[in-house]
Amino acid sequence: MARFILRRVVAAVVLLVLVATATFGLVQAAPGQPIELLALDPRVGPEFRAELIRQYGLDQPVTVQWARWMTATLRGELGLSFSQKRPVSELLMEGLGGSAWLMAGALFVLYIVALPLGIVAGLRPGSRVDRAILVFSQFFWALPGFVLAVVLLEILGVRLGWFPLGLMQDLDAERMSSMDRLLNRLHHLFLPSLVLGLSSVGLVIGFVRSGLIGVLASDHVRAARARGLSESRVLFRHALPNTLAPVIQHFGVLMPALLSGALIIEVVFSWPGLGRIGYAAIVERDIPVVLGTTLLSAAVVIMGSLLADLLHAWIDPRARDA
Amino acid sequence: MLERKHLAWLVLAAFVVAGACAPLLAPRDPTTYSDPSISRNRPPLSQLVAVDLDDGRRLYTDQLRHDGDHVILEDVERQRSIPLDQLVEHDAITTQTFLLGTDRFGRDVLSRLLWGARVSLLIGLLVTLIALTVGLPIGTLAALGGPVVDGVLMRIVDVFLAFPWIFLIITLAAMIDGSGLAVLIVVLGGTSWMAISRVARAMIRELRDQAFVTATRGLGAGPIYLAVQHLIPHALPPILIQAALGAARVVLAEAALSFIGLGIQPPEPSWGNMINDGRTGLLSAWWVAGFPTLALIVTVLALSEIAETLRHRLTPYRLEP
Repeated sequence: MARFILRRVVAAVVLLVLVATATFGLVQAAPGQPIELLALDPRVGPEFRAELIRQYGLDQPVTVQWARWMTATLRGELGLSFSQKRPVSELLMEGLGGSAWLMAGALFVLYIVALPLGIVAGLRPGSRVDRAILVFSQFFWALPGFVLAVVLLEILGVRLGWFPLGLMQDLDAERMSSMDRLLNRLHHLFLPSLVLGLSSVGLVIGFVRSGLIGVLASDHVRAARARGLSESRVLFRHALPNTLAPVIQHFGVLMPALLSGALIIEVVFSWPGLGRIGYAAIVERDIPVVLGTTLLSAAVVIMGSLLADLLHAWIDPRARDA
Repeated sequence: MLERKHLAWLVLAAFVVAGACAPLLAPRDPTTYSDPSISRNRPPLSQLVAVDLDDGRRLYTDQLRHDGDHVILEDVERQRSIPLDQLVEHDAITTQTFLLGTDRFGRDVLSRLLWGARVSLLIGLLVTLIALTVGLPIGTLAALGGPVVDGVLMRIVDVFLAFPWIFLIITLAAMIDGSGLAVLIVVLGGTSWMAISRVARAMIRELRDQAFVTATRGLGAGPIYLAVQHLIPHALPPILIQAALGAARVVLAEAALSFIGLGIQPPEPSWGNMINDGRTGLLSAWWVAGFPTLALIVTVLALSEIAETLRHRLTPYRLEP
């Protein structure tokens, strides 16, 4: 296990460095470098500009700049936001909190809907129930999340007034008791996490269904049946653990799609997460913030899939050899 | 009896024809709007009387009355009187039917839907072609180029896959500093080749050690001949399945980007920004967002059905019970 952890962590760190390097490459290629913007300002003389270039090390070779950039990034120094005049890292930390809430809500919805349906479908492949579940999952695969979002928002939010129209909490939430504040947060969280969760439901149902079909056809399940175990014991003790363990690893695969979907959902619901910050930054051409959110989103994906792999290996020893 | 797979191909073919022939099929121009105060948010199958003026404008009205050398347009809000000599000479007064209704600017939803099909399918097709031309060589090279080449190429794939696609796209869009169809195609293409390269690599690695490949190599075949003549053709089925699924994903991605305003810019129609247009009156004027949504769902379902048919057709030995 220790060797597996070490190998997996090293791979994740290498990938993180590569991802950061790719982002650095984008910084280099980015148009509208701050220095060039300064050159447009008539009050800034050429001497002052040269001094700035020297001060920020822009006359150094790329490799030196890369090393400086990496160390700064590791320290969480991602520069200043053009539009907000605040450190990018501060903005990102705020967004990370919002994203974490949304992601947690979406995952709750996703698995509480998809796991039972996937299991039921996998138990009786080809049955009427299975076909109904297939239609359900195909519908949510083909229906764009943003359409579901605006429809629910329009009906349940605007027309019926059952749910707030956006944001993470009411404007006066700061004055509420902590219990009320939590309820308020969950009230705001319901629609966005429902939409985001349902958008990936089809993938998980399909994964669980085909996994269960494979496990039920395997020798150890046949052996368990041959020993005369009851069907429920075969299912709960033998088949389901083997089906559900890979689902943990599958979560790592879902992560990028979920984060991408989250950006759209955050924009529709004005949810102050990472995606919304990235979106606002692109609209305002705030390059440091765009790069910061992109880098952080990739880091979240890498850490998430590392965590999923480790958890999977912890539960299922066979995964350690992979 | 029409089977599901045939239906999927038929639907896709219909959309391709609709998109390709949009300039011929669209009854009206998708971007210009005339007289929106009268013609906006009309439900499907509405009919309006159109009056064409010789300065190029077109006025709509519910009721028209002749009065000497004037025509009088009688509407609830106002009455307008137009002298006859301002009308065009032939067919100045016509009855216009809006099959799928109009949006809040009075633009024809059917025409926008057809032009939107053109955008969606063009992007789906070109992006998939880019993904194939980038992903296939990279996957092949990784499988045949030895451990170093393989390691480098697969790390590049890992890096691309680590970024959630939409963040990568907004970053690239910011770098290229522009919007529009071409940028969108390049950016989407640059972020959707990885799955294909992975499938190609896995298939070719499986194939390269098979007896017929060893035999061909023994006869003196070089790696390029081998790849083009033997390996890639045999690896093609799962790659094409991946491409079909990828095309569905790209169509959805374009719609999502246009919906939040990062894709096709209004007034140019795309299914995504049409849905955004219909947001404000979602319940009162459901047709504005409803038809593009339907088109989107049908396209995606058709593409995934085609992927499924390909899977059954091309790999019969992997059929599930």
